[in-house]
Amino acid sequence: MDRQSEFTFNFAGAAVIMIDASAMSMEVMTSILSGYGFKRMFRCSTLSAGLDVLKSHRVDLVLIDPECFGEEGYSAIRWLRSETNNPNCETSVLITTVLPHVRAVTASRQCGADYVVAKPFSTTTLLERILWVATGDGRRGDLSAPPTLVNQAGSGVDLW
Amino acid sequence: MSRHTKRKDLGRFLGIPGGITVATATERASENLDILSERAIGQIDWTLDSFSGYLDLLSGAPPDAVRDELYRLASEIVSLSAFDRESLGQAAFSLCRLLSVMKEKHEWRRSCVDVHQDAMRSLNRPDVCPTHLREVLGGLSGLSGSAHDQQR
Repeated sequence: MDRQSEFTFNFAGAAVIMIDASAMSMEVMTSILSGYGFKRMFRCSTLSAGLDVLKSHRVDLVLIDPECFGEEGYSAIRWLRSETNNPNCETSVLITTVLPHVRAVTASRQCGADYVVAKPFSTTTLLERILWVATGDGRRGDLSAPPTLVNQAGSGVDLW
Repeated sequence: MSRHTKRKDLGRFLGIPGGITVATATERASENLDILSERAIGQIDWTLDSFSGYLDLLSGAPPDAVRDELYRLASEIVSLSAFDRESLGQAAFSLCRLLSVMKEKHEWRRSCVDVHQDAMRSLNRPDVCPTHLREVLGGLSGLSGSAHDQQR
């Protein structure tokens, strides 16, 4: 048995918030995250509802499709990072997006997100990204993403 | 923005009792998605019809709110294309690119949008002939790619 097959996790006690304007996308993510073992899930179809949760509840992971909300979607993450008194200010943020173009990736970096995952993502890919932010020593920063990092055919964009 | 060092919020859930492996997690997630499949396909059909409905009502360049809605519908199709509609998803992705570029350039190419719509209709099935797919996507890539190139 290799190390990968022995590696285990238990997300039953972890809280995740999904912020996505698409009801069906939310259903898909809920199904996937349930499979991973998450039980505490906040499902927010509007940005304001998402911000209310982030102000009032401690969460361990944020999944957000900011494109649904225009520039305000990225501003919300920037706000979260700046709220140093908010226990969620350092929470891992995964951006999900259909169109991971250079502008979106750059905006994601600059607002303080951890990773961009291109929709549609496979069950394997999303889990890999979640485990990556759970175990990684990555940094968030403000450098522009090189265009070579943008993989429109694949399932993710490695920001760092 | 200054650099931060990540606090490993999720890290405390790794390697603790009662855990599952990556294989088990992805298998369970896939099983959950199988249950959703029929609804997702229905949603794709509804979204395609909705997209066509908007186009039917349009004359001339649409306002930004309508462009945003068209983009939202196209992106919904991309999001759901993993439900056995990968070819359709590629056409919808091309449409997203086209709509995005046209909005930035404040232009509207109805004929290009119509071609994408027709392509999505023809690709809205699970098994698409590879030759047909290659031809269709090649054509779409030319349309959305040329809009993108002109942007540079």
